[in-house]
Amino acid sequence: MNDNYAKIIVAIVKEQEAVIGPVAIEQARLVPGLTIDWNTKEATMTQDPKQTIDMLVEQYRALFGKISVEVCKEAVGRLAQQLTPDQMPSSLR
Amino acid sequence: MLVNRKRKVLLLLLSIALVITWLVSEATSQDWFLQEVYTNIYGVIALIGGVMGLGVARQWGGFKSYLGKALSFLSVGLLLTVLGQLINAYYILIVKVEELPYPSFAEVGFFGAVIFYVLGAFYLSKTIRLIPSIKEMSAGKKILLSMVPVLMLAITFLVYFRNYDSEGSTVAQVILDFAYPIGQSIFATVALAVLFRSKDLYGGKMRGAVILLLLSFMLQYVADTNFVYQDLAGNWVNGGYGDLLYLLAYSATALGVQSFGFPKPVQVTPAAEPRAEAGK
Repeated sequence: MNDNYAKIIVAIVKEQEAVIGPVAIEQARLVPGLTIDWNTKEATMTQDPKQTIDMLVEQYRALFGKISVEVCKEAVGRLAQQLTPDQMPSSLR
Repeated sequence: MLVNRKRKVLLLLLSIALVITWLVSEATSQDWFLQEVYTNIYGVIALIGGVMGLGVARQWGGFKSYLGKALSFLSVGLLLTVLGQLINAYYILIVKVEELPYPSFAEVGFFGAVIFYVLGAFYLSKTIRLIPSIKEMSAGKKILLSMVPVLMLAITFLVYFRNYDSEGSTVAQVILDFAYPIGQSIFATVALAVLFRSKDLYGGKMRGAVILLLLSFMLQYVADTNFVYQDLAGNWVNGGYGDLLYLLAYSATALGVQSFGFPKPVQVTPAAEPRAEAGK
């Protein structure tokens, strides 16, 4: 399951990178419990993954408001279908 | 970041100083030399804004991201405007022409700037997901939004082409006569359309910067439209209020781009714990 969440995080950061460049990675590195290796495009979490994703989305929301959240939701796309409603982070619902 | 704040203050103070210079020059004299000097120095705000803007664009990935592209194109647009002004200054102060040639090499700068502003507006619209958001809009909003290009085209037609006569014009002149206002209408249309999205920027640090850029697009459109209006009416004066409009447009663009100067990243999550690599 953590693997799915890691994929979601990488997808979000990738999409944000296309929009706002390296700032996307800087913002992700500010999320507690989240480590990003952008050379290998890998994300590891040491805390609750749902909460980590919510905090990541919040980090982007601080820049462009609701528009940043829309970018995150769009990035997740099909990956989100692999999660049950309970497993879905609230920021991506 | 303090450096970014200082740069914004510098641009703001310079803009205010140039506006005051214009007011003093208008109030105290109609001296030809002063007006010509003023016409040729206020572009300095576009020069400084363009150079600083390229630095800001780099922070957002330069040509590797939508926002970086938007800021890069707008900054280059500002620099191209300076090029156009320098070429005109050369004609006025060195060649001492009585009437500026049109088209001239200055068009490389001025028309190039229009193209780069259009590209900047396009990538700004990509940054804020304008097209997908239009698809999600209600029918009423879609109709309202579709009126924007119609309105801009109507204004363009009324100001530019109502009494247009191409007799005696070269092909290049006719092409540019149409290309300038159409290009300007495009970025003004995008600016108005982006306004529809501005409420979705609430809560974001960059909201003010986006709105300032939209304002600058509108000011640029007003300045250009006024220029053509005054030129056709034969009452354009170097150093007149038309130049003040251009100064305001350049200042707003320069400040708008600089407002994207990325502040020190801050954790926004309540349970945040300091991390060693944060803020790199």
